[in-house]
Amino acid sequence: MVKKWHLYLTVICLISGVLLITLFKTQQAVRAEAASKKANNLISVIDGLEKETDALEEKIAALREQIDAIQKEQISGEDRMASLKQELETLKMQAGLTEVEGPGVIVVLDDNAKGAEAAKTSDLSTYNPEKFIIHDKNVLYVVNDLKNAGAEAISVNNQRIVTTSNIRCVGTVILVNSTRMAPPYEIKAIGDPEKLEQGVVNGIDYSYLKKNDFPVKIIKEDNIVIPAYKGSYSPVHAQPQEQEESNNE
Amino acid sequence: MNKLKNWQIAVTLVLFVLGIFLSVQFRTQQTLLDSLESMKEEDLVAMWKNLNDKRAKLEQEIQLLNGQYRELMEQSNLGKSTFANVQKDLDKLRLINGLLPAKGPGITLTISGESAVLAVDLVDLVNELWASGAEAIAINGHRIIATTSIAQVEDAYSFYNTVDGERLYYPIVIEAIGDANTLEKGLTFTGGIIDNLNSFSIYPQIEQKQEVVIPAVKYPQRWQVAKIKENKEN
Repeated sequence: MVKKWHLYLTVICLISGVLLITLFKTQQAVRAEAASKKANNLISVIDGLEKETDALEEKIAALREQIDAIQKEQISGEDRMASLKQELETLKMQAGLTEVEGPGVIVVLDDNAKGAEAAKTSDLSTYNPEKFIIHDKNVLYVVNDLKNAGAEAISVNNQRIVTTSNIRCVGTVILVNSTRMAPPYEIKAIGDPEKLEQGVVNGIDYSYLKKNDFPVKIIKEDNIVIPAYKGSYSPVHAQPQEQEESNNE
Repeated sequence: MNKLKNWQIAVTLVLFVLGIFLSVQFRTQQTLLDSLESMKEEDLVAMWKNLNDKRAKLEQEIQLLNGQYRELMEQSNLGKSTFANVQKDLDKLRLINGLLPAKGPGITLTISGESAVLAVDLVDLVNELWASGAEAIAINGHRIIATTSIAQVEDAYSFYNTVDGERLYYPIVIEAIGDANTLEKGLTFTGGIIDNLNSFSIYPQIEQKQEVVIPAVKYPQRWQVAKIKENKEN
């Protein structure tokens, strides 16, 4: 009897247990189903959004990195550019492409009009006008004397003397950089005024002209302004020769 | 007693099993709470709204960054082209200033030295070559630039010529780059500079060359007193 009752209890408990479990399970299932029905769309939308925002955040990070890289490059580029511009300024100055100023001398050479008049009136048959005018060579050699005395910048009647400048005459007209000149010839040079003066005075041409009563003079100045070269400057035949050992890193 | 004890044990067992079931059930419920499925609908809606806002903000940021990136790229391309232009200018100026070796067609003129040539003769020759369109000139390998000095050094017994203070030995070779024909004609026309030199028994030999290579200056110009004139308007 006792054992039987035992058995019953056990069975009942078992059944109630099973019932409980199934109840729970079904409840769960029902609830999940309900939730999924209501919120399934919402959940999948949220999932999608989360993936999307993650991707966007990655894209932003990548973009910021790229921008950062360009900015760094630009900063170094600007630094290089600044140094290039500095070099450009220096090169332009040395090429005579900028107006410059500094201490120096002004050498004035003029035709000997008085001497010519006197020679004409004394004896026209022996009068040689060549002996009373300033020649292109006089100007050329005085310019060379100035260069030998360390002139840093030179102009003749405000025509800047650059590397490729030439001083010639066509008939009796002197051309500097193919520009016609008329006397008096005013040769300006920037450098040590004392040295420049010595260089010209000791030069053959100035002393010759002085000795022959040409109206020539040298004026020392604390500040002389010499204009920029305005001519063309484009090599057609010459090209830079590639150096085997380039030393610009 | 015994009976009761047995019954007690049985009930205890059953309750124990039930308890385990319950706790397991509770656990699964707990984990469910953390996932979306267990969230209330209004919470889900709020979350969706938040994410929507976030996405909109992120997209705006990307637009901004894209704009900035494009602008920077344009600037940097512009910078690169400016850079290239500046480089071109620099190279041209370096060539003009004799800082780069130059090569090109031209002539060589050789003076053997049977009769001494004067510094002014060299000045004349160089001047004439520039007049004939020379683009680069060297005397015995000394590149001629705006400030180059060509001078004569004399003592009681003899004299010699110098370029920038360095003595020139014979044969003196002048090299010039330019149109070879024009350069030669500029020197050899009747009554020209070669005729003049010939009258002093100096007979320079001129050779036209496909390629002349002229070295760079040995010492770049160093200006000590000349300065760029500043405009007062600045």
